[in-house]
Amino acid sequence: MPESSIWTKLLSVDRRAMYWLLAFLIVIPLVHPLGFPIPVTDTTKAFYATVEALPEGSVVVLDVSPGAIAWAEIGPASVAATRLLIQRNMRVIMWSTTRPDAPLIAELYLLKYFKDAGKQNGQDYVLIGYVPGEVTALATLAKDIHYPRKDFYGTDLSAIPMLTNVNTARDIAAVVLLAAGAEGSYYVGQWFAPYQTVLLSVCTGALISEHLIAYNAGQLKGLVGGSRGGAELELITGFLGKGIGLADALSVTHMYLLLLIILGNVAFFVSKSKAGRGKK
Amino acid sequence: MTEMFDPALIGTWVALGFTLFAFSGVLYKDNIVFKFAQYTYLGASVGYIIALAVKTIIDTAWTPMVKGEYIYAIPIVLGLVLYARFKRGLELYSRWGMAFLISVGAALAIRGNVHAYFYQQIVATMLPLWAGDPLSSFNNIVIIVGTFTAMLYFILTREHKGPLKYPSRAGRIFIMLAFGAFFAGLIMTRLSLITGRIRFILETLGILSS
Repeated sequence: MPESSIWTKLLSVDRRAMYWLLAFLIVIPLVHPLGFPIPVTDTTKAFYATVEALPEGSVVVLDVSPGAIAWAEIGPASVAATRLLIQRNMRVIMWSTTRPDAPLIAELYLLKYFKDAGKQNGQDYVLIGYVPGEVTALATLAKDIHYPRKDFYGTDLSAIPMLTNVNTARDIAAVVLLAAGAEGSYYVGQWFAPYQTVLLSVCTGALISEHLIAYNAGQLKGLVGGSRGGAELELITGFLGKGIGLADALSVTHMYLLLLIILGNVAFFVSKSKAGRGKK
Repeated sequence: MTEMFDPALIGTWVALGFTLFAFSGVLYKDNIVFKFAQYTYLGASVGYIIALAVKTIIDTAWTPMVKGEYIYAIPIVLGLVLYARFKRGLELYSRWGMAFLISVGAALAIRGNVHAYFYQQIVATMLPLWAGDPLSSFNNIVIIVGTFTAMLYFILTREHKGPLKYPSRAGRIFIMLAFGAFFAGLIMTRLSLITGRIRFILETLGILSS
């Protein structure tokens, strides 16, 4: 009969028990925030400083591409970034060339901040919505912003006052990417390389490594990465929201995962060495 | 009584139900409500995307064409011939549309990406070894050594021994570190998604304020 130690038992723990514990560990900091320190990173500071440096009233593109799935992660950062643009009186064009559900996300979670601030549709912001075609659509939009013809509500773009003198990427002061896919590389290739458009990114954790490369190469002027970045942006802008609570939960769950990785590896190697000794 | 039929409230409770259904597959086991949530999500997503695609074609191509801008007949025809592959004997015509798509895609990639992802990335690795402070200098050295050794690892026409042995091994370590960073980012994303849904459950049940 094989020897059964705590390590071999650990290797055969039902994974659902680990998931339940994970869920429990997420709930605790959400209900009782632990207040872990959140130092603001240089990339988030650069994001904030770049927006602050844009002239008031500039036309900015807000690429809303998280979709319903990624919103849970970058929603807080996206809301803080949008509120910052509103505070700076930017005129905002919203679209997505990658996510069909983007207009719904913008309607559900972003437009209320424009309305609350007394901004007018067509004067201060416009929701163009989903423009199919991914990179091809972005390349076309850079040459002709009026090419989708209508906004999300069916109004002709030619009849929208804030777009009267906005025709190409050269008329755009900056693009704020709310990115959950390949949008970063599309904009770098089709907007930054030919037009030197200022690009700022709010991206999911999975994209941080990719966007950091573009940031270090000077292609992105600022980067707010993942939930942690959301908490940082909330702190630096003063628009406190859901990001800070999310950061606490992430810290706890990351510690839990690190513990599982360590325990799993120790258990694996100990049980392997015991099995080896048993054979001798 | 009318409050009970508030569409927003009904939507929230339906979302709560589907969230719990989805979690049940992971926290309990594969079951009928989990499958129901999966299929409903898939069906709703595909239905929405098809409706939006049709609307886009009508707005951007069909309407201008019937108003006299006949140039839009070309993309409509190229789009339609893509479906020729489903009809035996007509498969050849689908290649016209595909050829157009691939040509445009390749042209765009060459136009933007060569400059952005080749030239500018090489320039970004040309850094001074001493950047004024020890930490920045260390960062620069890591970037230079990492880029150089990772490229050496991809020399496939010469066996990795002799002068190539240790630099290519170092390159492999840098590549693995990069993969580790990508994977860690992905884990952070997944944890954030779970946290977002749990927060939604707590808010809907009134345990957390929204």
